[in-house]
Amino acid sequence: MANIEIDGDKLVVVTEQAVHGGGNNIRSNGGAAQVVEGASNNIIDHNINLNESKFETSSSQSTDVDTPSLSSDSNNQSPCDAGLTSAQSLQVTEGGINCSDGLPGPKYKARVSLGIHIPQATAPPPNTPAMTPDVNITESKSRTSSSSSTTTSGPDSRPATPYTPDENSPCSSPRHDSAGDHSQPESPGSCSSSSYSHNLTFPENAMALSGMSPSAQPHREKRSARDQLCGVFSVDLGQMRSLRLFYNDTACTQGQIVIASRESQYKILHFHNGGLDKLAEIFDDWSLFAQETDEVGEGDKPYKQFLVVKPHLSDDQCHPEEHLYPVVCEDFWKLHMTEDGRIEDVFELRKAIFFGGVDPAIRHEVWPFLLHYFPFDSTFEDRESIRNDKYIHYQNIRKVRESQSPEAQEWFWRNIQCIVEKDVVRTDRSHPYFRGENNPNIVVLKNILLNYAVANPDMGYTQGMSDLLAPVLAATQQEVEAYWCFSGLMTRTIFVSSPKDCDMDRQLNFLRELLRVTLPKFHYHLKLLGQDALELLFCHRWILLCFKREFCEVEALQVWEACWARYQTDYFHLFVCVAIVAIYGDDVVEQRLPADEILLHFSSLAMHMNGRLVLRKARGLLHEFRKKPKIPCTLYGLCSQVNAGMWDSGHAPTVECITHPADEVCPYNSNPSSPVFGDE
Amino acid sequence: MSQSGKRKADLKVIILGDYAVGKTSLICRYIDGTFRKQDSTVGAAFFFKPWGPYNIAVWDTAGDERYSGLSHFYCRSAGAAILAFDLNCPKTFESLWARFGSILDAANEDCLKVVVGTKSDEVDEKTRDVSSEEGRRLALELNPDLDEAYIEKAGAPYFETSALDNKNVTEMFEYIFQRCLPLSADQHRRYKGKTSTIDLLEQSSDGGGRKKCC
Repeated sequence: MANIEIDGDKLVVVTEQAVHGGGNNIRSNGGAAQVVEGASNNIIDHNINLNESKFETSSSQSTDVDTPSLSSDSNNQSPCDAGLTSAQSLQVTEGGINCSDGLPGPKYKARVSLGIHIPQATAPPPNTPAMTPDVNITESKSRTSSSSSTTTSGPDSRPATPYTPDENSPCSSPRHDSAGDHSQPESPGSCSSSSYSHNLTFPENAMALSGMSPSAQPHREKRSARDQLCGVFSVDLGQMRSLRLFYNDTACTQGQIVIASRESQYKILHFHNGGLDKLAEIFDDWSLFAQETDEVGEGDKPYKQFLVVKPHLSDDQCHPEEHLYPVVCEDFWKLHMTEDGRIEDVFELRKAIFFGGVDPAIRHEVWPFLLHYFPFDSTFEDRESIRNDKYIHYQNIRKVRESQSPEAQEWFWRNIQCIVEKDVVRTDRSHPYFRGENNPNIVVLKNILLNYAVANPDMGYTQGMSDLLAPVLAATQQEVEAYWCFSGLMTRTIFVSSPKDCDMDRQLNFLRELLRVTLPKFHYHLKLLGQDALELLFCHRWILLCFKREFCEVEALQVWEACWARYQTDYFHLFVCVAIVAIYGDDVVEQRLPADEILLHFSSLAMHMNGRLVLRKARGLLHEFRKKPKIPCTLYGLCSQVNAGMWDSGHAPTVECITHPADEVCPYNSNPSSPVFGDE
Repeated sequence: MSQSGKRKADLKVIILGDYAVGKTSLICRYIDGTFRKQDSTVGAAFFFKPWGPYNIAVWDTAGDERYSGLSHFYCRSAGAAILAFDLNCPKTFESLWARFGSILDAANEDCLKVVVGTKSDEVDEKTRDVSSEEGRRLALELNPDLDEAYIEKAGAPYFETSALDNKNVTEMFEYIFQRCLPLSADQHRRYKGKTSTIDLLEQSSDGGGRKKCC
């Protein structure tokens, strides 16, 4: 039996092994873990002084501080006081081992616990390195025996000493005994914090789930209503449907744990500063004895699942040019600009963007080109006049909207404006650019959408547009420019589906075929499931919102840029879809999930997938696809390019006519000369 | 396919209604027991809910579905449909007939249609535009097969809810489940602890008779 509990900002994993054989012999008492829920978790390898890497990980964390909403319930950042040096200590008391790598600072020992204590966050200033928390890992066979355990320390560590509260330390109220004491939640305010604002959290009363197990009873009884109010979260892992670990760094120490209940609720715990690997070891033990109990006859729990996803792609899965391109930064961008402002060697530039993305600092400069607001070959002068013309044009659109007849206005209000108004107030509100009450940028967002609907009555407004516009506006920070970039995004790239069904159908047809060709096992599984599964419901949002809700913002925008670069294909987003399935879809086939559960599987991964990994894989898939000497006619046009560069070898595989439904004409033979749909 | 449908839902419940009437909030209140601001729903979302020995799939839809092919997918073989409208916005009530009536043809023939007014916490009785009678009438019209004795006993499939105040949400869902997959009193007792995600802080909503709102 294993339990996971979250008390305020702490995660407590309690594993207890069931009585075996003897009956009166409690064989072991597993171990218990306490991990802070939130960003600054850090379990440190004993014998390794992570003093340096600490700051490295801290800085990566600060990117999350900038976009707290997009990293889900990870906003409990620790106060970022770089001046304080806290101790890192690791205490493992498994049959008596205590390790700690000693740094001055508070230290405590919690028996039967793996504990990390993080000071509760208030509002950390972004870009300040976070304090590394104090860390305790204690695993012990039983609580009584651990008192006699011996202590082995790392070379540069000091012996573990009982914890003495240090008033100057941010860890001023640690928990001494995690296994028994649940009555003193540290941070009463934490339940109202953003960790509960993500839509995949367990209810506060999730411990009701453990009601089936009598051994969980004592824990439950100890909980007062106040405990719950303070965000104590407790589940019996043995009753969970799945427990998944997603590493998102190559060293496999950071990432997320995703716990899914049988009611398909999800709790996601973030490890931004490492330590996940340590916890994984403990979970791994748990997983083993979970299988033991299954054999005992609890065969009615077929959903248990312990999955570890490591961000590893072998070189042969990657595009051969994968590591050749760094982020496109200002210097590189300027290099490609002639004196009069023209962009030279556009193909090479787009290729660089495809591989490396654009430095956020110059997005406002680069995006207008990628989004067809400015032609690449325009001079500074040209752009100035475009800017003027488009400014006047935009003002005219605005005037049209404001001078509608009363009837038209009434219609517009009912069919467009009131949807837009409801949506803009719930779009990216945690993004710094849109944060806060009465933020004027929300009004700008609204105006752009309304004006767009007036200027493009056939498109009007559909939900999701606000999601697409928000990052563009946040990047350009300028209403008129954002409008025209958004306009380019909506109408001139096929990457974004227009609201017409035929566009979506075409995308899905390509995607189905691409899956069939690249991931035959997955496709075969869908085929067995039948038509419902082949609708690829789980991909719809990916395509409609361009992965905006699948990856954290930083990564989503990198995906956008890779798509906008239109390197070798105009359908790179479909390769991204396939890459997600390739990396995260094994489970679907192995567990033979039905159609609706496939949707559930992938939606539970939203915001927790590794966007960089997916992008690498997608680039590799594109390369692989382009190497194929022969493609089916159903994929004809996928890689035909509108404006290939002169160094691009082009893509001219043999097209093979395969069986397609009798009422459909062969996509190749019907239209062999103009394979590229859509624009330009 | 039976081989893979090891956990196939016993009942499919869909929720339909105009944008921003609070469909996702309603589901989240019931499934998660919490209320928070939702993003607009794009694409499909769905949740499992155990009900006694059964599994119920609750499908959330986008109020503003871009891809009409999906609407029919949602409705296919749905055993119950929640038709949600904002009590404070009569237009959303009108939409129920206009937009969703035809879509529901794809649902089961005996599909239970439950009309649900949302945001009852915002209703000002003096200025309200959609009366309880109207809502009730629509609910009865949509379910010509419900016999009077049942309505007498269990009430009409019409609820006025508040996801914010957690009013009538559990009652509404349980009305549906009990109608479509009836549990005996014994089963109720046996499964209560397992199925319910009733907030322990709010003892009031547990057990007891079903409170009707109209």
